[in-house]
Amino acid sequence: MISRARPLLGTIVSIRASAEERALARAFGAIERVHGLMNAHSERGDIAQVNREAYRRPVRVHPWTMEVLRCARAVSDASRGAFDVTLGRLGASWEDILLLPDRWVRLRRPAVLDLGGVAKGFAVDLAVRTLRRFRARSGSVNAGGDLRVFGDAEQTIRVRLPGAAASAAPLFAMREGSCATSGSYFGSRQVDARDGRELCSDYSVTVCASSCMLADALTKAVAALGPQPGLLERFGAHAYLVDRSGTLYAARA
Amino acid sequence: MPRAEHMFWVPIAVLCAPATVQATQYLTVEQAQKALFPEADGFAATRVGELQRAWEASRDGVLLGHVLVDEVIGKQELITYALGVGVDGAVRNVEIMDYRESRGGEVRGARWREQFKGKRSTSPLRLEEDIQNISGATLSCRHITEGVRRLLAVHAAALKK
Repeated sequence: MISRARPLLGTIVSIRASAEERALARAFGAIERVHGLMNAHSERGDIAQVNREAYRRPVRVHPWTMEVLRCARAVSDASRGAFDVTLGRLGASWEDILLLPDRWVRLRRPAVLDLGGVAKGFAVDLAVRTLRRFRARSGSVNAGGDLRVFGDAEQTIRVRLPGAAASAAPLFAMREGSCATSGSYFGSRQVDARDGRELCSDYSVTVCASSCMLADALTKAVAALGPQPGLLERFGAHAYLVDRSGTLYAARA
Repeated sequence: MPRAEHMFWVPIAVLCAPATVQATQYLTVEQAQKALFPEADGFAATRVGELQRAWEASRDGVLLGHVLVDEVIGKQELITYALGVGVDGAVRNVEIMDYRESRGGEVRGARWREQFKGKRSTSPLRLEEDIQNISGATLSCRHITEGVRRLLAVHAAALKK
């Protein structure tokens, strides 16, 4: 098992894998490419170009960018815009992003896309894909709250306890899977099912889903809206909430 | 399967995590040197300005660049990292060597684990093989970026002389 960490995607990305050194280097390389393509500040990247030009003419994007935009659209749709890569700036919304055939993207009106809430998860997925291609037997990729594990050994997933950043509690163990954690969001009410009492604003939401990209986007929507079948059952995802006292809640129908 | 109409947050366990700090060592100095300059055949300790943890990487006596080791404060923990700078002054890469992160302890209320059975593979927690799902590392990253900027400034000033 080799462990390596690098500052990437605005966080510390750590990779652990039973693989050759070369495999980890390539996985980090894949993450750097995603960063270059999807960070709005990389001038030659896809998203910078979409923000600059797609209102006037269609912009052709990389297949990876299209994959992320499609996932973002699905979650925006399911959350009725609670998750929205336009962040509502310039009065635009996710519905103004037109995903055309052959990876062409157009904007119905000027908008500033920010894939921060979903591209990090995609980068994690891609790193795992790369590790597997280089025959890694098992491992994990963690990008500051976005995590994916794979392989034959079970690995423990931990979450930080809100309000106690120095401590992390084990949540569960899994062999294959991905999850993403979001900190508390102001203005969103979460209610305890036992008594209808409103939870304090200090909580974190963790979503486990089939891909880290999906988990990344869903965790924002769930943090904003609370648990909803349209968000979780529809994508086969599970959500957990940890509050300041360390109580773990699961989203149940 | 018909979809439920509503979902709720149902309490299932109490997580208990006394704050303990454990170091994760990713790379020793020697490993970091090799990772940053794989083609080098020698690393000689040197000083670059005020920086004392510095090495010259060379191959067949030709200088390839410098390895600089530095520490920054992360969110709460110290992070040791190595920076590789080529003779042209360009950054080769940044490798994190040491990341002292805090870990939690055990889980109170064993019943919680039952909840996951059948939903995904679960097993007793194995703390030696575990990994962290840390949110909020953003600050750490910013501090490393600032550290790198500082090292580059010192490096440039020292080599100009």
